[in-house]
Amino acid sequence: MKCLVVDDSATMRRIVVNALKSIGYAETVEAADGNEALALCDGGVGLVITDWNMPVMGGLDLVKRLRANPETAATPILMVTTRSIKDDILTAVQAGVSNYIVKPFTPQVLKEKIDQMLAGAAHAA
Amino acid sequence: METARINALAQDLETTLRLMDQLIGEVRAIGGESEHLATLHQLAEAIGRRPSLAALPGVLLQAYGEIAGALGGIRLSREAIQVHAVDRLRHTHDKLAEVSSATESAATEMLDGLDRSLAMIDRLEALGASGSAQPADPDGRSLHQALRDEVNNLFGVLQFQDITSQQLRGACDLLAEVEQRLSAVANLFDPSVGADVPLPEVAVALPDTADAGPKTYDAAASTRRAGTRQAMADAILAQAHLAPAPLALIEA
Repeated sequence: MKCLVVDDSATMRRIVVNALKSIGYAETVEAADGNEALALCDGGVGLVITDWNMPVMGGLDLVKRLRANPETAATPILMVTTRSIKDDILTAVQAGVSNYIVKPFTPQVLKEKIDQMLAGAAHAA
Repeated sequence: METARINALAQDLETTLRLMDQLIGEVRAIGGESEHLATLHQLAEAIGRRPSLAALPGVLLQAYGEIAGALGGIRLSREAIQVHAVDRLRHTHDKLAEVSSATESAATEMLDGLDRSLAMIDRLEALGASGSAQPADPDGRSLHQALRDEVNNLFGVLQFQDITSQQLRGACDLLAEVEQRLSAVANLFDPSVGADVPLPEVAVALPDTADAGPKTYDAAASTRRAGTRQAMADAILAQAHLAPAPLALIEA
C-alpha cells in the first residue's frame, strides 16, 4: 500500500517514512504541503499521513479537500501534529480525519493507529 | 503641557492685545494724532490681523487636544503592553527554557541509544568471531532486531527538532510584535524614530493576518506529556466515532 507523507519539515518526513518502513509500509511518497499532496493523490495512494501546520495549504484544508472529492473521500487520513487541545482534535474529526497522533510519537503508536484505520475501512467496505 | 498653563498663556496674550488697544485709545483721547501713534495703531491692527496670533488660543487648545489624545494612546498602549506583551514575554521565556530542556533531553537520549547500539555491535562482532549463535534478549528478539529497534528509536527522538523549531518560531513572532508596539509608542515622542510606523490605536489591534496564509507553526507545541496528550486525543476520537452527530456535546 502506498502511503503519502505530508509535512513541511523534511526532518519529520524522514522520521515518518522511517517509522512506516519499520512497521512494514515501505512504499511511500512525500509532499511538503497540502497543495503538493493533492497532486500526488491521483497515483493510487492508500493512506495519507499529514501534518496540520503547513504553508500554502495546511493539513485541515487538505483533509476537507480529500473528503470533498469522491475519488478520495474514503481514503484513510491520519493527522500527525503537535496540536493537542480538545477543540483542535474535534475540529480535525469534523473535517474528516480517520485517526489522530500527537507528536512526538513512536512507531508502535503509528502502527496501532494505522491498524485501527485499516480495520475500520475494511469493516465499512 | 498642562491645560492650566495653556489657558494662562492664551489669557495673557489676549490681555496684552487688549491693553495695547486700550493704550492706543487713551493716547488718542489725550491729544492729537502723531506719526508714532499712527504707527502704533497700524502695528496693533497688524498684530491683531495676523492669523497666527489671533488664532493662537484656538491653536493651543487644538494642540492640547492632540497631546491629550496622544497621552491617552500612550497610556492605553502601555497598559496593552503590560497585559499582552509582558505576560506573553514571560510565557515566551518559559517556552524558550523548554526548548533548551527539550534539546538537552533529546541529546541525552540519543547518546544513550548510541551507546547501547555500539554495545550490541560489539556483541555481534564477538559472536561472529566465535561462530556462536545469537542469544535472544529478554523480549525474545535477536541481537540484530534489537539493534534495528534501537536505531529506529533514535529516529523517533529526532522529532524534538520539529517541535522546538515551532516553539522558536512562535517566540520570534511574539518578539517582532512587541518590537512593533514599542516602536509605535516611541514614535509618539519622536516622529523621526520609525517614521513609517503608524501611531498605536486606542484599541490595540493584532496585526492583520488575513492574507498571510496558513500558520506554519503551533505556538503550543511541546515535547512534554506526549503520552497524556495522546490518551486524551484517543478518548475524544473514541467518543466522536461512537456519536458522530452531536460533536458539540462531547466532553473531555
